[in-house]
Amino acid sequence: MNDQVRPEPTDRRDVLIGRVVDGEATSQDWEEIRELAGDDQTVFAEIAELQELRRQTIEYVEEAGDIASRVELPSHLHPKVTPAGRMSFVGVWGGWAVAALVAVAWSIGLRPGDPLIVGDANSGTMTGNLGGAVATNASEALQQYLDMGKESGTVIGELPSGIVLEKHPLADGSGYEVLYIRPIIERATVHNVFREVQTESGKSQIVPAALPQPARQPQSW
Amino acid sequence: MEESDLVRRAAAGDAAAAEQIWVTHRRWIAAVLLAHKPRQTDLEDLLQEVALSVVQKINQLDDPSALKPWLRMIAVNTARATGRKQTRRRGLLRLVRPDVASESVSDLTTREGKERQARARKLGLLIDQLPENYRECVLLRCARGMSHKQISDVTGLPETTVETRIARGRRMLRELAQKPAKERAAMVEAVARSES
Repeated sequence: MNDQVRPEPTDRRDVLIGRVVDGEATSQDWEEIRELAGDDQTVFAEIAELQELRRQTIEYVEEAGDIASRVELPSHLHPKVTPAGRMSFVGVWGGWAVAALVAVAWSIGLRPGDPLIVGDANSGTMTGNLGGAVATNASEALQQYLDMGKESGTVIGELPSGIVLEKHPLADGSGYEVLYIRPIIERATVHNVFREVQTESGKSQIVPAALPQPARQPQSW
Repeated sequence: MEESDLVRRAAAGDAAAAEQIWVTHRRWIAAVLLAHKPRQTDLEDLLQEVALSVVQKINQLDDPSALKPWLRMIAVNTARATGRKQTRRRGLLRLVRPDVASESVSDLTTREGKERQARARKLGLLIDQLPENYRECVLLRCARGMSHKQISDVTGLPETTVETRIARGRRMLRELAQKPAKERAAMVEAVARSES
């Protein structure tokens, strides 16, 4: 950041007006202001306009300050606090955003007691150790997909926390609707690859790309 | 208790001391975030991220007298990093919910009447057009009447520079309020050039 500003001819005028607007002008400043106003009739009109802008800016910053005053420090996450104390921070720290993130992480974690699916990932059928349990809701179905994918090698795993994209307060004030991504890492083998190229007319075009050459084996003579 | 003592105690694991530091400074931290955050970022989310950083990193603050610049740096870094993350996230969201991704969410729309919302939005848009280094000084000056000296302590700028930036920033704000959008952009660009 530039620490020093180059003085401009208008700076003295602006600074004097600023002092009046902030109610901090000295008697000497006022003398200068009166002199200025003798040559420039707009000075007092400008002061009035800036006072109104200052009032609005204070309102704007105060509002932000009020939001800040609702945000508590998550003291239970203090490095010196015992791990046992950390568990309760969601309840103590009222910030919904962090709570939402934690809730997301919690909801997508592996849950003990979920049926363990051992079917064939490619067959499209789901059978489990609970006598062929069929998912009854989206959460169960996803869990089955994860388990089967891990077994077949197409799913590496799911990241422990989601990525919040957007949130909207519920109309009844009971909470927020949170849109988030559940990041699942998958493995795939791709035989057809493409790349984007620019044509002579500057348009983008997708064209097949060359597959990597197999590593050359040392030739035997 | 002296602030430097509070910092030492907080760094040594005193959660109450850390909390006292936060309560003392969080209002002006909000003003710094306002100055640096992308327009559509939720202020409360950013404040929570800053609070989390403060509590997790206070034990790394070696010089207790550097508390205010340290807090400011956390706020500035949080605002900028969140801006980068948000751009990526909005891009992702646009893929699945084009309607939501284009929405603008104001921080100041929760409890206020329509008139005040409109005024705040208009002022926010004008303030957003100020060069970043003017914006911060102008906003801090309105954070519970912070003095030039206090702003200087936070930003590390000389007091005279602080006063000049506030004066210039306010003049620009007034001129921006009077100009049509096209002229505003040219004016901001000219000032940014002269500052660099």
